[in-house]
Amino acid sequence: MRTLWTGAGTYMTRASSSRRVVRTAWIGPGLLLCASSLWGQAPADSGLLTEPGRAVVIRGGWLFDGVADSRSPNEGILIRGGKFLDVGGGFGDEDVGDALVIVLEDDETIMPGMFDLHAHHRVGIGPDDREDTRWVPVLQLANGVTSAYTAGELDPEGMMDARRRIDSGEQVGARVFLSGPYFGNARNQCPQARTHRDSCEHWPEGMTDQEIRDRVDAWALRGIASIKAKQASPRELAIIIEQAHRHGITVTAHLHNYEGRGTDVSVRDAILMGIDRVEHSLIDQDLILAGEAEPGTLEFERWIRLFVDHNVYFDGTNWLYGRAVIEADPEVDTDRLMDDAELDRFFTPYALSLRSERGRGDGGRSRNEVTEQEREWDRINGTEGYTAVFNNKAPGLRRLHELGGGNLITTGTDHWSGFRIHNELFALSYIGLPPDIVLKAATINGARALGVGDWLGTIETGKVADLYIVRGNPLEDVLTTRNGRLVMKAGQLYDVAALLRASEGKLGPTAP
Amino acid sequence: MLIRARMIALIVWTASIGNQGGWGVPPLWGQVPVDTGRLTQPGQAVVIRGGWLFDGVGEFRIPNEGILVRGGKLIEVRGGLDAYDLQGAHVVDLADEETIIPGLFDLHAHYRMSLAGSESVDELTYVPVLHLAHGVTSTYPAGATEPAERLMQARWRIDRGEQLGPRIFSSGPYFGNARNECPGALTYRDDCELWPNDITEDEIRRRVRAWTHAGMKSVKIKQSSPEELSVIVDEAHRLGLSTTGHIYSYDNRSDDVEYRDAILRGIDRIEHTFVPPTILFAGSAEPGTPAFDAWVRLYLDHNVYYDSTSLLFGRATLLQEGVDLNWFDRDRYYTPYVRRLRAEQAPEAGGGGEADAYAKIFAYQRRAVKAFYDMGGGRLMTTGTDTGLRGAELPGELLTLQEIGIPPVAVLKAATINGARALWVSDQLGSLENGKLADLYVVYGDPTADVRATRHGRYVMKAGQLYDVEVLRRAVEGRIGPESADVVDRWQGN
Repeated sequence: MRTLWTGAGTYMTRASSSRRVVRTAWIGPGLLLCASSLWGQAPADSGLLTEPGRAVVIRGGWLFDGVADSRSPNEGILIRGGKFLDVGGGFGDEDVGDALVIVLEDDETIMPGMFDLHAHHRVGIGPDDREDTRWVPVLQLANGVTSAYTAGELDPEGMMDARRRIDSGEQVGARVFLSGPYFGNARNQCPQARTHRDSCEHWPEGMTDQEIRDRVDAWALRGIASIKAKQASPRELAIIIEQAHRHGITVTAHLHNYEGRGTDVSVRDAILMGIDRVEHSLIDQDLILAGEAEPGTLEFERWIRLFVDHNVYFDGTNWLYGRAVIEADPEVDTDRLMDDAELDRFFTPYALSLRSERGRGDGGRSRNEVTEQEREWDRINGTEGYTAVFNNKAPGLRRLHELGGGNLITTGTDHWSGFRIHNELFALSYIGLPPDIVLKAATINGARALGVGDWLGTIETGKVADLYIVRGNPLEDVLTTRNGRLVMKAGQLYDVAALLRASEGKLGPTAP
Repeated sequence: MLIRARMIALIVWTASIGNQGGWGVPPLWGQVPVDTGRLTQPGQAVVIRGGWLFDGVGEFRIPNEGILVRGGKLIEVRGGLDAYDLQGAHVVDLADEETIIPGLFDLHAHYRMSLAGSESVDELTYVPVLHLAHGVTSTYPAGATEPAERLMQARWRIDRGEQLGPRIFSSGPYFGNARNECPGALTYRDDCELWPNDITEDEIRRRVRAWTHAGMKSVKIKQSSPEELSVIVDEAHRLGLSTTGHIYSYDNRSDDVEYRDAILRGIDRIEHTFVPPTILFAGSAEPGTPAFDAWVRLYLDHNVYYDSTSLLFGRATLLQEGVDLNWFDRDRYYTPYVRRLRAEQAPEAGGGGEADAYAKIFAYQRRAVKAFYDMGGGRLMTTGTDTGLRGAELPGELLTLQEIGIPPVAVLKAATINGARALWVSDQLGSLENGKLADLYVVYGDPTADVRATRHGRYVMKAGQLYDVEVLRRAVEGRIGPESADVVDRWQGN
């Protein structure tokens, strides 16, 4: 028996096996029933179109495989055992067996599943941000993000549990690559710790080398994929990096961004210590703000070359920094970008009321007394500082690409919603990177940066089957990634619209 | 019964992972001190100047312009070190005859041995040191001996810096009924309580998950049914693990999982032979025939890696032909007691039928592995030992491939970058390029001309720590195996 899904979203069955016919007919309404009856987490079969172990064939439409620079007509893809068994149609009917056959429309494009390398799951609902591990992973998946790196967790135990649920198939969601807690004193328990010199009992001053190594060991053995450092001292960071590499895991960091006065670890020093990735800024923020690393200068060139020479990945979280610039640009059709208001439908009514109290957006921890120094920090880490960094980062990314470092650019949202990935792609495109480079940043570069490029990041025979199917041509317009139709993770195919429907009204508490 | 006890042990053990400190593993008896042969201090940068460099990517070795290692990583491999602050770095000046190559991968690195009448157990004290001492910085154990937890614990001790050894990309136990405890299980149809015939899909998935969350990196399948293999592969891929299989090799009665079937069910690598032994014995897959081409194309088309373990099959043949595989004295590393026992035994004759089969397989590999390479399969070939004195045999495997006719550079790539790709770790390992982890091996001679040079190790580096190879080898002299008949039991629990 073979089930055909036509582009219009209607199901047709071919051959005869009543069991499967019944099952496919059941998926749509069944999902709605489940979504309304199960409180707390998306049922494991939300939007799921395949049963475990069943092969899938995708025919028609276009393919951007993450390797070539352009898309080409899809010759046929066979997925079995969670992996791409054949990409390119070199398989016959006898290989297809009882596979679920998906036939795409001419205007649809298959691309690799996307990576969000700065995918904090934390959502601002009450006074503090808290990680939502039930619905955020569903929303990520529904936006084509099949792999999410947590980039510093507030509740590492909770995230580890979420990964277990997702891995075991108990819960739908994007694959989680864990970071564990921040390595450094940037902890939610210590909001006043703004530089590595401030005291925080969760990352106490004067830890011995061995104590730091022990912490790396403990988290590495618990299965984290990559360490996120934030506000570690230079000595501490060097030890973290060395110890992580013994375990074969990578290190990224949010460096040098707080005080803006050179007291954290410099990006340059971190790269020469052996860090693998850098978040947010290519160049020390204090130099940017002081105008000492202007684009076109030799100093600027040196910074960009550091990344190319040492093969260090850069995650610019460009929408976060460039939002004000991009939204103010009259050339940009902001209606096509994701607006935060679109996210309201995913909150419970009660959570929505709490959010309106704390003000829209996720920033703004309430502080009773704002000191002069804190005002300075807010300036640096507010729109003014972000804009200055963005205006330096944009030419930096273009130069990185020109120097052959396009493969080092990754995508991160620094946001929970999953929807932000599209704005991040747009920001990279706005900066001037060609669409194929932007799409590779979101796919294969992310995979390589996390050390999983051998099995994820492209649509090639032998790799694990993560993909995303969108209406339109993302190689002409990256925002077509907003028009997701289907998403696959390790061979399991989901209906995007059903995932979104299942998530409506679910985020946050239903009552005090 | 046994299975239930084992599962409880696993659960207790897995739960103890959260309990970061000790979990009752006593310090190893007689363990080699972790700073043995170590030339660097933690946190210290290393500069390597002079000699030659084969980076695992290019086709030639080139003069080494200077390498800087810091933080366990290759900061610079292309020279120009004047631009860096090298204060405090450990500087190594190589001789003109020396060559730097990436750390080697052994993808079939069982740690098990059976000595002095002991049961077959994983030797986790000295074998890890021997690996390092022969340039092997990454091992895939390809199925641990039960209790498989012991090998996982050894890996954790090594990663934490409490024990000397290579990276261990854990396999967990065999997935299938090929277990030490069930020597009678020769096909998947035979029953074994550790992998019962009525094992459910849920139980298989649960086992894959439990071992993955305990740190398994790649699943080794041996004697599972076709349906079980599908479930293992599917669950492994969901969790981001690759799979390999020793399949179809035992009973030669065609009722195991057939190779083509396993590949179409999604397996990622194949061990030992790349066509079913029944077919090669029957002469139905001779190079040059369409049937042979179809077999090779199966691997090429599906990007499936092949680990030929050729030394295992070819040792006897090559020794008869005078190839110098006995280039080192294995007795050097055994205890005096084991040496005595070995001297009393007849020279390794091999057990009749098996030796005969191995010779036949090797005769086939000589034709077929070369043809596999010639058809473009070089990128899919990896190196694994599965034989002899664990930890010391990879140079022999490389020589065997060279004797088969694979060019030395291709053999070196099989042992480095291909191994890393096959294990899904090549973003970090397998070649000497800026940004990758600093695992390397310095040998005397030119391995790109003759892989025998890999015997003559000078230095080995893992994650930026540099060791003197000869000091490591000396540290294992006379240490492997029980000291006397009285301590065989204790040795088994080493």
